[in-house]
Amino acid sequence: MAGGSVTTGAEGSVLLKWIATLGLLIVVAIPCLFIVVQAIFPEFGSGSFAAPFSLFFKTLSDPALFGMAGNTLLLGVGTVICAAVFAVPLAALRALYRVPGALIWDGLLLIPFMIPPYIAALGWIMTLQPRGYLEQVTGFNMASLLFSVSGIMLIMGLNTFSVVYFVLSRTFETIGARYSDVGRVFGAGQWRSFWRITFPLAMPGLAASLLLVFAMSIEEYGTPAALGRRIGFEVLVTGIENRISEWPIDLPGSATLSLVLVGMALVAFMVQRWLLNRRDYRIVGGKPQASDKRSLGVWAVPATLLFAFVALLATGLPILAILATALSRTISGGLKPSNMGLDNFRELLGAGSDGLIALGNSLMLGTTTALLAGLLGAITAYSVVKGRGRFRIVLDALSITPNSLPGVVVGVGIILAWNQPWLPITPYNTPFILLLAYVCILLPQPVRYATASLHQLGDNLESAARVSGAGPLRAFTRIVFPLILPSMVTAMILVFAVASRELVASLLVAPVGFQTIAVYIWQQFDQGSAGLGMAMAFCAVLITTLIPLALISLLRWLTRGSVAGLS
Amino acid sequence: MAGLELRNIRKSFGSTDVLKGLSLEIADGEFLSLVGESGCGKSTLLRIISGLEAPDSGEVLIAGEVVNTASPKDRNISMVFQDYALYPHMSVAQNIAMPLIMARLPLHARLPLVNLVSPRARSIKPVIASEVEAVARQLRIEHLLNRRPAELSGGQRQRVALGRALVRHPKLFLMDEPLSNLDAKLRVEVRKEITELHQSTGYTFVYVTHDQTEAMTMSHRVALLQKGELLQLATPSTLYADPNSVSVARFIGSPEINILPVSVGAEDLRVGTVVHPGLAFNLSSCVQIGLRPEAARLVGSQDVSTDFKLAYNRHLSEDLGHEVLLHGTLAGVQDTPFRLRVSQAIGQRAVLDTQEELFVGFDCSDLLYFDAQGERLRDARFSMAMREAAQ
Repeated sequence: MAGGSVTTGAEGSVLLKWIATLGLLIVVAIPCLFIVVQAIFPEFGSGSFAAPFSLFFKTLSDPALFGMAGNTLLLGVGTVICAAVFAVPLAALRALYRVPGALIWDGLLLIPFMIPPYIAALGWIMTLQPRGYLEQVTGFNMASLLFSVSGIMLIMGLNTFSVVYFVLSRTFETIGARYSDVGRVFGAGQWRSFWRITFPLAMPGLAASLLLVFAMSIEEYGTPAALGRRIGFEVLVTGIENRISEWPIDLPGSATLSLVLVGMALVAFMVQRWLLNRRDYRIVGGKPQASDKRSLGVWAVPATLLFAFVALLATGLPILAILATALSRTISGGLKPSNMGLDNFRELLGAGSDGLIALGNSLMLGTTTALLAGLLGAITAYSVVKGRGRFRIVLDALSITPNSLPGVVVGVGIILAWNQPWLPITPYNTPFILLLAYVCILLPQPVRYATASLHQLGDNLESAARVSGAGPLRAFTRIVFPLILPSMVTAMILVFAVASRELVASLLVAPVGFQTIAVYIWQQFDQGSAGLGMAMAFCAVLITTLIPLALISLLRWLTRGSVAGLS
Repeated sequence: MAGLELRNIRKSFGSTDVLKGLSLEIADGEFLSLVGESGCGKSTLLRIISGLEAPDSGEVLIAGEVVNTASPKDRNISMVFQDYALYPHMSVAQNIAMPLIMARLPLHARLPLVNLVSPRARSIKPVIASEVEAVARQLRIEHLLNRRPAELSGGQRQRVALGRALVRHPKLFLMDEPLSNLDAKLRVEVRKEITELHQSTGYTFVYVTHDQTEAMTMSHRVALLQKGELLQLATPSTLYADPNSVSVARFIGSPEINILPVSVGAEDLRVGTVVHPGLAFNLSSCVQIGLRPEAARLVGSQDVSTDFKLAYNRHLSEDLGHEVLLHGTLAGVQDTPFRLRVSQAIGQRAVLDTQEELFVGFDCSDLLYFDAQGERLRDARFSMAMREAAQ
């Protein structure tokens, strides 16, 4: 008897496999497909496949596209350089020397992760614009730097460099402790062994984190939109947003630009994956490493000042500017005690106010997204880990595709897919469309956490349940899912924090009159109510940081350390 | 009726053929060991029996029924895993109760909260609890029921894994190297307990191991696997005394059997420097012989009582107390190591201690004859089995 078609469930639950496939098709594949179709068939929106490729090549050879693509690359490279300039010296100092207050600097440099870049950019505008806080306090007018291409790079570099800093300082530390001793025994000094051994070995990690910064900066909407538009510096992201939200709406154009942008992000992402999958020297063993950090001596003060200066730039100034604006009764009133008060917060959080509704909407959407993305992510990761053959490759590819899909592209894809006139029912123009967008953008996070955690589970645990009489589905729900739940919770908290303040997809697909935190902030700033917008920004940062922290501490306390993975 | 029957099972992973048409039959209530070096396909075979893998072709029959398409949960089997695979998020009691909960509680009665009000759950739960306790008592782990697996020692985890497998009253009890994570002393202890468990339950046991001692001491019959093929399926004593091939002879027995090259004439047999004449020897294709280290013995230089007597060049001796293990070579076969067990009991030790020059003696009837392919050649006159029968 041929056994080829026999299903014993060794490949995991068939039901879960189909749920994962269906979920990924709806959330990821359909928007992607519609972008491609729309780019090829310009008349697709009116139900016609006429004139394929007629606009595709025209858009591709459009000088405006070259300009935007060039600007995008320029911005990406410039941001990477700025981030490297900020991160590499700090990481090297942190790894090789005993920096006074090192843990405090680490904590402060974590904060940029919690501030969405568009909020930081608005903070910078408040600080550096003509008659901004810097000019009020010191008399310097740096508006020309703010509204310049290098200013945008600098600000985006400050927003992203902590990614590089943390990866690199850990890498330097582990590699340094292991190899540079060897170099020094054979006669190299500390700096020499750093340059000859540690730094070359850390190159893959450095390159990978810089590529991540590159991808983040070419996908970023808020900063280029807030600053670049004023000086006519248009990048692909803002170009796409422009074509789909401003009259005349150019669907084929935005689809084609989306493809170009995704192509760039995909290349960055693939190179990064390739770098990390090659031999990675950052293997963390359980072995405690002798810390041979040196004292900075007379350089302690300058080094501390450098850390303080960068931390102030990256963390302090944006937050202070946000807070100052939020507390100012009027912007024109300036930084005077008489102008300070809680008026903006009162208006924002007053009963039945728009702000309160937007907050509620975002928290609700964030929570639902976290649950949905967490569940779909866990099921997808399980199906990929258990799966075999072609099916597995398709699922795996679909689940990591959103990594290279910028939020703006997801927005375009969703509009193209769900705004088709022939659809009998559609989530378009309901809050559910935001849910689809958020789940698509954030799906890679839970998938990554779940995959890592599934690989740590012994294969036999599931086999044991199966032999004990559980079907594949029951083995998943009773054994596998409870065991990966702790790391799924961490992933879901992360998803919540990002989803509840996502900007560009929300701007594109939010139903008319439906406000989220980000949309509210953006509109208030546009309408000149910067104070109200900044009050919301401050609340958003506070809420989306404090709720996750509180949840994680609560979980840690509840499980009392008996469950690993809550970090 | 056979407890388990495998018919021509084939399985390959990619281009690697792991099982190449394997058939065997296990009687109801039998204890059978699957033995072989790592990579021989024994664990894959166990996973196919349990239903965790599907064979590429062939049939699996449990209690006379073809179960190829049945999922593991419908085969009524139990399995003990090498790493025990205890659910880390459940207590010992929950671990053991799991198979019963799976089998007896319907879906709605297993849901959280609902299970508190479900009459079915309320009536079954005490039954399950008492069965779990009974199994725990049998394995002497009733004091551990509320602990988590992480709080148990290796031996205790082993018992919990056994308990989880026992509680279901399976038709077939599968064990995948269950002792390999235990230390040597505990292993002997648990070995005895598993044998007793088999005797008291009467279940059909299939036991996978790479350790021949476990297989030989515990099982009724042993199936020796090599590269996906069944070399021999027989009782432990038959495997030892009457192996089908050099491979079987080499795998079974420690220290390993001595395999020596020989040349065969019309009426004689030459081993090293010695020719034994006057044989009506009809095993003309014989090119090698096997001789167990305890089948030969030390003889005095004047002793002529054995068919063969060869000078022994001792390289090393290992004194184990009750016996001495000698490593060396025989005169004329310097390239081939020859191991000898010198027992304390039969006065051989005295020879070893007093003689300067050593001689090894053995008879034609002590030898196992093999052809160039390593297949066994049987001549009734020299068969060990015949000799045993005569005694």
